[in-house]
Amino acid sequence: MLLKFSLFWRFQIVGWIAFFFLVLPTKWVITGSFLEAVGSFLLRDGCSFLLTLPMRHVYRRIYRGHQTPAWIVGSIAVASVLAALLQLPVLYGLEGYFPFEESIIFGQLVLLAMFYYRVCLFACWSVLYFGIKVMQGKAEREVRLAQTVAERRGVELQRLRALMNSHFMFNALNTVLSALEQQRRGVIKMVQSLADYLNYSLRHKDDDFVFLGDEADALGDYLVLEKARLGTILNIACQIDDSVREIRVPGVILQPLVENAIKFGCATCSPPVVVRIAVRRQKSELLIEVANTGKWIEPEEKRICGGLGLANIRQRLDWLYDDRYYMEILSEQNWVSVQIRIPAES
Amino acid sequence: MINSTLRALIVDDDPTARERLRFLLAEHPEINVAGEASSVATAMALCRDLHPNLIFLDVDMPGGNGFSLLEKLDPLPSVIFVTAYDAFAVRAFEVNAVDYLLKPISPRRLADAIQRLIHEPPRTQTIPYRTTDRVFLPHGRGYRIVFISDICGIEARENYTEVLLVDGTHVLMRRPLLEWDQRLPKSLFFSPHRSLIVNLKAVHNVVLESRARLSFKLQGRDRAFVMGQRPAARLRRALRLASE
Repeated sequence: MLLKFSLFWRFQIVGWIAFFFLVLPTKWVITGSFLEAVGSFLLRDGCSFLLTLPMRHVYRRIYRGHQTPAWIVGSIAVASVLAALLQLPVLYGLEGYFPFEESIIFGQLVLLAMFYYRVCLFACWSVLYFGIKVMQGKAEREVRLAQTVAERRGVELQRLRALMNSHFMFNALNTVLSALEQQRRGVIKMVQSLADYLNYSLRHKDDDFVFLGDEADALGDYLVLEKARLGTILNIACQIDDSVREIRVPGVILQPLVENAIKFGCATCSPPVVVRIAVRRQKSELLIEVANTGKWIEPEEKRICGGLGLANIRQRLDWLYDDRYYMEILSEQNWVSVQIRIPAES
Repeated sequence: MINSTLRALIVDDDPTARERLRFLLAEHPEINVAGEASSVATAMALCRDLHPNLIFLDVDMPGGNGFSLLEKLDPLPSVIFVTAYDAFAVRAFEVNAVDYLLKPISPRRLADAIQRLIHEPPRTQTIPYRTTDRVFLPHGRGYRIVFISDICGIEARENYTEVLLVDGTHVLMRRPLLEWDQRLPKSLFFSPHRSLIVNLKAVHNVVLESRARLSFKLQGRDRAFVMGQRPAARLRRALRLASE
């Protein structure tokens, strides 16, 4: 039943019940009657209980999780004194009104002692409150950290998958075998390109960023094999300025974009599919544009499609650049294009 | 099928792969390649015209993958799936005990698959399902392909079972409820009594009508399921565990 309440209320309820049993014997001795002791508790400590609620409200508003210990101690002191001052009229006002209070003699000194006692009570309550808050914050931070690590691992995995594009490798091997069986020309170039691509993949498997020049060369190797596989169906126009080769880009970004363009171009337009690749510098930014003939298909339900090339790229850019990048998918007439702008850093 | 040639159709968007498979099939006189298709749409048209009794089907085709062809054909010819390694697809083939070839196709494996097709009865498979798996349910003379998590319940109907799906439709198939119970993941499915299995995530509107009577509804269905005291107690316990 207690589990239905929030953490605060669980501690609040259990704490005050425990406190009741703690002070009951003393009150019983002072008042000389069990009922009077309970009544006194309900009135005086009930009032303190009620005062902790606005205190919580105030603490919640001012505590942001990064204040210094001195700041917390200061606010506890101020809040406790204020709360005890607010309770003073209750302590004082009860004098003489209730029969069971008669046995206590109220002098100024007693009142001062009771005031001091309340200040301590509120301070203890506050220390507990902040203690639990700090611990909770710590636990939350740990969970968040674990999430970030998991996220990072996910992004990493996607990059490795794109890098070790087994789908492409096996298709390429299929093409090579076919070319050998049919005694076609160009097999040497195909095998060389496949070897270079594999080499590139292994060399950069731990790098977040690579030189655009290397990335472009790997794309060239990839395209040699795709051209051999798809023959006249595929028409590629690639324009990558030599001046951008020294710029660093996220590893394996061009090839998945092009793979996506070829794949969906084949699916949505009658052959030949034209794929246009353009990479150039625009002021302080690098512009990557990959366009294909065909139509934009809304990604079906993710699980049916399996891999979502573009969504993966976006997630990786998100991770690496935060909001310092721009990615847009444009669809007009018979062209679909993906534009990416990232900072041109070398 | 024995001692006669099979009319085969090759479905693949990759022209080189089609060419290569045709080349490899030249070694098998029992297979006569009647046509080639580069998309699911062309494949459907060719199936109507040629009535093939075997399809070599590449699953990774954009814009309607190979699986969707399986759902659209009626009657469905024998199918040998082909894929350049795709973990999702391979898992689906394994779970559903269908034959498949990995690209680049090896001539030996191709021969094995053809032998199995001609001489062996269809295999049955008993590997446990995972919640992310796709299952091929025989439907009419073809298949319906559904995700395990889209099954909201299974009811026994004598020798058959009726698979209730989240979209409100159902598939009646010849598979005992016990086999379902053994293969479905326990984390998601629960059998409160011998003739029903429910997807715990699809159970809603649970009403305790009396001490000995509980009713609930399943996603996509208006009908209320009613159960007696002991199954009700078991179901409530399973629901509590699942929600924790």
